[in-house]
Amino acid sequence: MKTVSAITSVIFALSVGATAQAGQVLASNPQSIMDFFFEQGIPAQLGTDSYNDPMIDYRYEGEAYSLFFYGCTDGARCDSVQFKTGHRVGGKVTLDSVNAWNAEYRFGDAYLTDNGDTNLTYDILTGAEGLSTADFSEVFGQWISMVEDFEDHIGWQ
Amino acid sequence: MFFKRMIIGTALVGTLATSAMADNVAASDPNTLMSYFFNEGIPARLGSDDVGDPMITLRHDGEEFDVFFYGCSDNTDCQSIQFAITYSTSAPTPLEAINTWNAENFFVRAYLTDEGNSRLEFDVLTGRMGLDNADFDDVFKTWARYLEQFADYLD
Repeated sequence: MKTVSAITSVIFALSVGATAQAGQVLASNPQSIMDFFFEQGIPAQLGTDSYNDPMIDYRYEGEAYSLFFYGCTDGARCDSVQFKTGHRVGGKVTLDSVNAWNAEYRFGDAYLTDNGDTNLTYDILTGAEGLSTADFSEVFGQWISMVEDFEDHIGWQ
Repeated sequence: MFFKRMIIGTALVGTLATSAMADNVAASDPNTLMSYFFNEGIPARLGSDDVGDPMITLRHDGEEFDVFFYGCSDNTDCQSIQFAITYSTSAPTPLEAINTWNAENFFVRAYLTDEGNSRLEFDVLTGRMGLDNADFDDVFKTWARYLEQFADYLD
């Protein structure tokens, strides 16, 4: 299953390489991100957040995540997306531990919320031209391994 | 001798750059970043870090900071860059304040170093195709804005 999807994404990446802009992933075009999730075999649902900006809920390995859109004008033309996940750790993770995470790992950042839970975020500016599907796939892979590393770091079961 | 090497180096980069798009900025071709900084009027120096990967040192608004390259194979074909600056403060910034910064701000990551200095980092994956020049400009302006805000925040 995993092999098949890997081959599909390689073929897709090659065709994207030939037609430059066609397959770009852009926050300004939420459907391009929905297409990305579909191609990756990830269930996703496009909706809106409380500011009426786009928002995508997706499920990865049984976990539910949301992708938020930022830098939007009137709920459209957004220029970035934010991968985000929270863990209800109930005050069991210290500021020292969160700081050690931020010192050691790249791309995203972690912080403690006012309730003593943790949030992990990773912001991607896609601007006017966006990222190629293959490059966005790298970004998404980084996000997933970041979540796994963070869960190891905080001892999340 | 020095010039000859430089010309050979440029020619090599020229052939490598075919993987990225014409005007795109990509970590895989450090010269695309050097051109961006030159066009922006920002003094930049291309060197290498202690593992031999490319590294660019910038001067911007009187501050000097580094752009590190990551995900390189044999010191070339790098996948991403990291803007980074360390501020030494008279006393270490409280972790609560660093945490609040991280909760409130996008894109960048702040942390206290082992020496008690405050460090700000911003990682950008440029991948195979790189970022369009105007979009990279947005990225750099975002970094420049955060640099200023973080310095104010630490004051």
